[in-house]
Formats: sequence, structure tokens, C-alpha cells
Amino acid sequence: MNALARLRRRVASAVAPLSRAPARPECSPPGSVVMSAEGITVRRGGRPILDGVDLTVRSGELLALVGPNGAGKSTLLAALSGDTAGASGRGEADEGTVYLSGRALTEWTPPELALRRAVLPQEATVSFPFPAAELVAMGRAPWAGAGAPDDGAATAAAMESTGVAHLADRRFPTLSGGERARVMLARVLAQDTQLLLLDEPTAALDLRHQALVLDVVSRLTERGGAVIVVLHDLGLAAAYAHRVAILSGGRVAAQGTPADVFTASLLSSVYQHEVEVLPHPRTGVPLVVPLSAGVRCARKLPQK
Amino acid sequence: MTAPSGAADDRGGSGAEAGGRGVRVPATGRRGALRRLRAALLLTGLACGLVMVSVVAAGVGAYPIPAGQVAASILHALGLEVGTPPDQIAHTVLWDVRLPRVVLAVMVGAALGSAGAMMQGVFGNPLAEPGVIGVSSGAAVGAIVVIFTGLTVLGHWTIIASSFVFGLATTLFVYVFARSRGRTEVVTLLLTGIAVNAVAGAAIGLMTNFSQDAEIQTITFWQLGSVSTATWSKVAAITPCLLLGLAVIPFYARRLDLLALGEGPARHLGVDVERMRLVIIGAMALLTSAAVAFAGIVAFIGLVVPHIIRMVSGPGHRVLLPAGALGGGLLLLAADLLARTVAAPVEIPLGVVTAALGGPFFFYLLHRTRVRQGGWS
Repeated sequence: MNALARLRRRVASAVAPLSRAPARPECSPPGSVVMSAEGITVRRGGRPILDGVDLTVRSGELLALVGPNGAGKSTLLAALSGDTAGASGRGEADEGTVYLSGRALTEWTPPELALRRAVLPQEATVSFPFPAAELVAMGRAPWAGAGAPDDGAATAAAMESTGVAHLADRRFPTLSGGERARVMLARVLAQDTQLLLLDEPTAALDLRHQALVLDVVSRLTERGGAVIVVLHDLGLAAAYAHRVAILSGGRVAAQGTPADVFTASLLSSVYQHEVEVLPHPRTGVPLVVPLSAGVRCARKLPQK
Repeated sequence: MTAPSGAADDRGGSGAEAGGRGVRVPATGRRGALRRLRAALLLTGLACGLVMVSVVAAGVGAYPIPAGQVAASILHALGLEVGTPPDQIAHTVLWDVRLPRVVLAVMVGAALGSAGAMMQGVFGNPLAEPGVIGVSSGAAVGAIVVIFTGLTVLGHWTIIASSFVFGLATTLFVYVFARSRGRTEVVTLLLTGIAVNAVAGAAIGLMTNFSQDAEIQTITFWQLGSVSTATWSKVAAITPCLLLGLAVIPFYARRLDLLALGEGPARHLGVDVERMRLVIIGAMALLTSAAVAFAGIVAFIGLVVPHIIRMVSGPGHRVLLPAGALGGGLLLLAADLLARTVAAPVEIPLGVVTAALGGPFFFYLLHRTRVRQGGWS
């Protein structure tokens, strides 16, 4: 991409509010690489938070990022969103390249990116008490001018799918934690992009809503979407993800299908806590069971 | 899968799961229409109120002129021969004294009201206000430096230019200083405002101390705020500043909404956050310093007006910013009318009136927030 073309795109984005609606970007065909990261390294205060991470997500794929606290999951997701920018003076450095649809992330303008990938941050904060429906409608902003009926339908469909349609008129501060999380997810779905980057969308949710959210996300991948999702719950990751990347100490410790990657020895060493992995008796999905101190003692007794 | 069929698949897929979607869409539409109606009513109401209070205010004073004659005189000037215009003395009073003052008050109020709303949006903080966080004091220092040194290199524009530079510098300082990790905490912002106001107060005090009597009187005028020295040439000087500052509204109102989600999410929705911040801060500093240059420090307009409008029409900036300008003009005009009539023939400084109205409102805000969410953190 030469400098002239980049300048032209910057000018085009600067006058965007005056120009007509953006054209829908070409979706990558199923099975093709949507986003790839090469050698992502992020240092903060001289300490590497991510250390040479390579990652690829394909169209139609749900990739789960799992790992213990502080493994660098959220930092990796921020790097994939194009958010990290180090201050070199303070020993902060970012290396590596993230490619979206074959073009480096830095080559896209913010409006172009907003039509291709949506990001759900971990924390949901809103400075002013907007009603839920208006917050979800904000997801349509990148498509500004594309026609109101279309926007209304996309907003309504997104709210319906995350089960927050009945909250449309409620103001954000009056919502419970789980309702806030689902409203924010609806905003991200309303953005209607091929790639979704979700940071712990299930953290504040109960059992039913965790399943609801991951079902919605799974349906998107069936229709050619690509999803990278940070999950804490290994059971959910095993049940829903096509592929799992286990992060540990800023590196990818293992990558593959849940059945291949979720082994008792690997998870026990990564999480520094003994776990057992059993296949579900009916579905065969790996079940990850952390062992309590009592269970570990009980198990050790007969061995003596 | 190609682009158009992908889009069609998306639609079809989500339509299948929600037969209710067909029912929901009109509901959303009806809600949207209601909201738009309320916004339109608010804006027309404010505009009509502004016109009516302007006509009344132009008639009230030591030489009273009936509102009908005021309206007739203005319509005559616009080329409409309606009603009976006032006699020669009334005409002179109206056009040389009253109207410049009314127009200046409306413009200063519009500048402060919209600047307050922009500032709250860009700081993501409902308590940001030019007076509270020290931008007005910073701009006043710029204005007083000009009075103190007697600079007139740019004519009427000298004071505006100087207060703009100081106001912009103060805004940038507060913005950089009070922010961390993309958010502005209320406490840090208010404490920064206290510190900035203290420094500006010291500078103003120092200059007052070394001033001659005539200068002291002018400086006191800045600190208390007033539009009593309005002339058409001042109106002409503030007009381009106001128009330039308000011109950002159609381009950035929607993006300010997105900024409420935080900087990262706004960027993910396609907003060039850095550029928006620069543009809004520039517009805000221009509006505030133009207001300060011609009316001194008039506190609380930028706080009171956006809060009242949010209570009526919600926090969306596409209504808030224009309504903030109209509401600010209306409130400042009413305050000025009060300032010059309540103790006539003596005039109360305008800043005293707005502070007397705005201070209690600030208490009310504190109380309400405390009751609702346990205070600001």
C-alpha cells in the first residue's frame, strides 16, 4: 500500500460524514484466513506481557483464548483490536504485525476497520445514562447513512438475539451486571461485522445466559463469521470453541481443538493447579474438573 | 460466500429465530419517532422562548418600550412594514443600547451552554464546565494581560486572541493532567479545577495589585461578568467565533455519543478519537474564550443548561448540543434581564446572578447523585 493511496483513504474518511453510506466490505470466503497475528510482542515497564504470539482465525471458526490470570489474554485481544501502542521511552515496546483480510492493521483507517471487526471490551462503562436501545444503535454508527429501516432492524435483531429487547427503554445505569453485558454484546452484534473480538462476554452471566450468548456467537460462525473470544470457563471453551489457544506467561502454550489441547497434564501445569479431564459420557466434550485440596489428599492416601 | 449473499444470509438467519422481530421493528420506530418529536418540541420551544424573551428584554429598562413596538421596529429593519414602530428616542435606545446587549447576552450564553455540553462529552464527565475546571479563569488571565499591558495590536480581536490562547492552553493542561487511562475521574477533574483556579486567581490578583484605578475597574468587570458594555462591533467580533465553534456540532455530535462508551470502543466504531478530541477542544476553547473576552467570567451556564436538557431529552448529543446553545442563550438573557432590573437603577453584575442561580443547582446535583448512586467516585 503506497503513501498516496493511504492519503487518499485518510481524506475520504475525513469527509465521511458528508459522503454517502459506505459499501459493505467483501466477506472472506469460508475457511479463509480472516485475521492473523505474527510475532506479537508487548512489553510494559521492561517486562514482556506477550512474547512472540502467532495466531490465526479463519472464517467460520470460533477461537477461544484461555489461560490463567495475567497470561496476557486481554492484552492479546487489545493488540488484535489495534489498541496497544507502546511508549518506547518507558521501556514499552510493541512488535509484530496483525493482518486483517491480508492487510496489516495499521494500513486500515478506523472507519474501514469498524466495518470489518467489532470489539467487546471486558468492562462496560458508559459516561452518560443512555437508554439500552440507543447504546445498541451505536453499533450501527459505522454504517451511518445506510438507511434507517435497515439500522432499526439490525438493532432490534441484535437485542432480540441477546434477550435484551424488553430492556430497550431502560437507562444503562439501572441495568444489572448481566443485563449490561448482554446490551453491550448486542451493540457489538449490531455492528454486523465478519470478525468479532470478545473479551469475556460470559463473565457476568448466569448459566442460561452464558449458553445463550455462546449460541448466538456460534450461529454467526455457521454463517461465515469469525470469532475470537476470551473465556475463563474451560468447560464453555471446550463445548463451543472450534479451536482453543492456551496462553501462559505471554506465550501460546498450546493451540488446537479442545479435545487435543485440553489434557490434564498441560492444564495442570499451565494453571499450577491439579485438574482432571474426562470426556462427557454422552457428547464426548472434554470436561475439565479442578481438584480441591481435600480430593487431592483423598486420592493420595491409597497411593501411600 | 460473496458480500451481498453474506448480507442476505445474515438477515435471513436472524429473521428466522425471531418471528417477533417483525413486531419489534415498528416498536423501535415508534419509540424513535416519539424521541424525535420530543427533541423537535424542545428545540422549537427553546427557539420561541429565546425570541420572546429577547423582545421583552429589549423593551424593559429605564426607558420602557412596549414589546409590540420592539417587534415592529425589528420587523421594519427586516423590511416588513408591520405595526407601529417606536418614536425617535425609543428607536435610538433600542438600537444603540438594548439590542446589542440582548444579542451579546444571547451569543455569550449560547457559547457557554454549548461549550459546557461539549466539554462534558469530551471529558466523559457530567461535572466538566468551563468555570468549574478553570478554563474561564485561564481565558480571563489572557484577557486581563491585554488590559494590563494595554496591547491593542489586533483591535477588538486582541482580547479574544489572547484569551483564546490562554483558554486553549488551560483546557489542554486540564485535559492532559486530569485524564488517566482514557477516563477522567470526577475528583481529579474538580481538584485540577481548584488548582487551576488558584493559579489563575493569583495571576489576576497580582495584575490587579499593580494596576491603575481605571484598569482595576475593567479587571473587576471581567471577574464579575457583565454584558453591559455591549456594542454592535463587539457583537460583530464574537459572531465568527460562535459560528466557527458551533459549526463542529453536525460533524461531531454523533461521535460524541460514541465517546460515552470510552475511547477504545469509540475507536472500534470507526471514530478517529485523536482528531475528534483536538477539534472539540479547539471549538470549546474558542467558544469559552470568546464568551469570556466580552462578558468576563459568567459561571455555571455550561453546567446548568446541559443538565436540564439531559433531564428532558436524554444524553444524545445531536439534541444536547444545539439545545445547549439555545438554552444557554435563553438563560443568560434572562439572568442579564434580572441583573439590570431587580435593583434598578443599580445593576447587579451578571456573574453574581448566574452564580446565585448555579450554586444552588450544583448543590441539588450533588444531593441527587448522592441519593441515586451514593455520590461521585
